[in-house]
Amino acid sequence: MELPKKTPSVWVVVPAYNEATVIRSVISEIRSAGFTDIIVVNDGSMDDTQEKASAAGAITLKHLLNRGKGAAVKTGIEAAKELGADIVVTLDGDGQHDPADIAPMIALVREGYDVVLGSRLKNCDGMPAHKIAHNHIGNFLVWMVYGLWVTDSQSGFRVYSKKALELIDTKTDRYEYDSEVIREIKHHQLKFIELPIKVRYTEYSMGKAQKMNLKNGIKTLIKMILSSS
Amino acid sequence: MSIYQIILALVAFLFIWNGIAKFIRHERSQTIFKLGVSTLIWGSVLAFALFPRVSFTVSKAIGLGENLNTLIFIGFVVVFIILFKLLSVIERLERNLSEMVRKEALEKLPPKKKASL
Repeated sequence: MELPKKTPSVWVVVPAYNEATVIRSVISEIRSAGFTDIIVVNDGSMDDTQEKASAAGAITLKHLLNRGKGAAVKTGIEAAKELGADIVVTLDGDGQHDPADIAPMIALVREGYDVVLGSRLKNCDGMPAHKIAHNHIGNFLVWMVYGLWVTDSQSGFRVYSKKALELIDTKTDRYEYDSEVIREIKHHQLKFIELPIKVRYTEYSMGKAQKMNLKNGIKTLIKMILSSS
Repeated sequence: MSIYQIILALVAFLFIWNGIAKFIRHERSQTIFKLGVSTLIWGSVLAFALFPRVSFTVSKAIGLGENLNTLIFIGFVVVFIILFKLLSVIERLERNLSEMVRKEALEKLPPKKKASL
């Protein structure tokens, strides 16, 4: 008699920096999508992100200092591993990602993929033109430095299998983290797939000061080159 | 004396003076080592600005003859090496800081959840 397959433990990691306005609705949407194990990493926020995330029922970890999105995601992944995660989902804390996309991404991991990359560029509807241009430049640079072509190297919406969680070892802390994961996929020859995701560009998510701009882009490129050497 | 020599000399003098003033005021950030290094660097700039012929003397003394461009090139290479070293050090410190912050955050992972494994 064949034993029934154990349901994998899925944890959703949400890095958050000054997201008090939206974090509650982000958590609520993830819960509505059927995922109750949520870790919010409050990356040194100066508002009440911490309190609001805790009140919404997520496990909330706090960085005493702002260390960047990459560092927050890594902390969340480490926590999820400690809590016995088989699959980890990462998505941004500003509400731009739709948790309804989590289920199809997890289905792909269960089919045998190690990493599922949510791609905004496979479905650019509603995406501002300058964002599309930034992403194309980012993809080209990632391909140049790390040698792997993906359609959205800067997406924070990703799903990792247990194997990927064990193998991926990142060092960078800020926006270059997303690109570094691409390097790790190539390095460990992980089986990956890109899935079109829905992205909601709101006035709130577009207005955040710490988002990628030219200055951050140049810094990211320098760090990518340093981390590849 | 040309304008650029005067400006360069003034800037160098101000930096040297600022360093000495900080040291006299016993500012915590100003050590004798930092004062020495900044005086050496800005003192050299001051000397080159006021007495441009010094650069030819230095060039000859280190065996480059009249080839001043090589001296300038070597100067740039040294500056880039220092910059790269500094970037590496900052990078390492940032990484250590992140590790410390992460460790502290993970220590607060709810024990109830940990125990339920």
